[in-house]
Amino acid sequence: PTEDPDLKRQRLMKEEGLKLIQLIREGEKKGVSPEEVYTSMYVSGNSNVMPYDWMKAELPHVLDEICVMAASCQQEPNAQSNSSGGNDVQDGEKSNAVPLSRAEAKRAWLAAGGDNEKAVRQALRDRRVKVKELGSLGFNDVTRCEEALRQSGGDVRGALVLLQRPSLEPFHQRMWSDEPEPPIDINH
Amino acid sequence: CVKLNPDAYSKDSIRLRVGVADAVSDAHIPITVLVPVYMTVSELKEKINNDYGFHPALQRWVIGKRLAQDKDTLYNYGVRNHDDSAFLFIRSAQTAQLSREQE
Repeated sequence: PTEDPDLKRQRLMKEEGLKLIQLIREGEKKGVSPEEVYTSMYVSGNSNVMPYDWMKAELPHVLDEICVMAASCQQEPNAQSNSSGGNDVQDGEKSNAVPLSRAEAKRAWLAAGGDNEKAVRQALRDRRVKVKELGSLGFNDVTRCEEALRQSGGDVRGALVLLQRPSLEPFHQRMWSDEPEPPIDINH
Repeated sequence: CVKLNPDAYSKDSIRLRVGVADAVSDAHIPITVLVPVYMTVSELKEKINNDYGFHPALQRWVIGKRLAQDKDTLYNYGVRNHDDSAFLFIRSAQTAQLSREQE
């Protein structure tokens, strides 16, 4: 009996959807996001390996590779030349580029749908955008901003905290100092 | 957010069969939504949020073998006719937060 083509299409649509939902459900139980499951499934391209197992075994290597590829791009002068565009260019066209963290590589890898070369471009672009954002908040030292972003895994808010912490350090020191507190004026 | 012209809306609307699932559910719960095939996934998330109160950030849509992206339309994922199916996976806010921290 030949199946109606449209019914067949709908049956496949449903079956494939259900399969993916099942994988996403497993991932969610293990704290792996749907995007991670999906991209791992796509990249591993192999139904014998569970996306989660692939992620544990292979993804760290993939991310390291992205970091290495990005580092070689960062060393090419062209890749960085249009990045500054800002007010302070005192450290010239070639700053000592800060390598990507795995976390930044992972964000970019997910955004690029598991395409490593795209992920490299994405990660470097993300860096530039975020450095610019930090610049607009008054942090103009590109290398320092990049380092803060590396430490925060590409999270701008986290990087901002890291950049601002040193300026609050004196308060910490005063907080624990032995100097007597100013006397309290009970009349005011 | 794009406002849809009501005429275009009714003309192209189909019955989309949606299976709703989360990490805990064994089976998916079927619902039907009436949507135009040219609706974007992000508009669909907004609609589901308005109608059923699931935050868009916690909705993941699976259509066929693909995890749908916000900017694409249902049509992009092959949704054409009445009774085509899709799945809505609802993340728990806690797990969503957790995986963000793990990044």
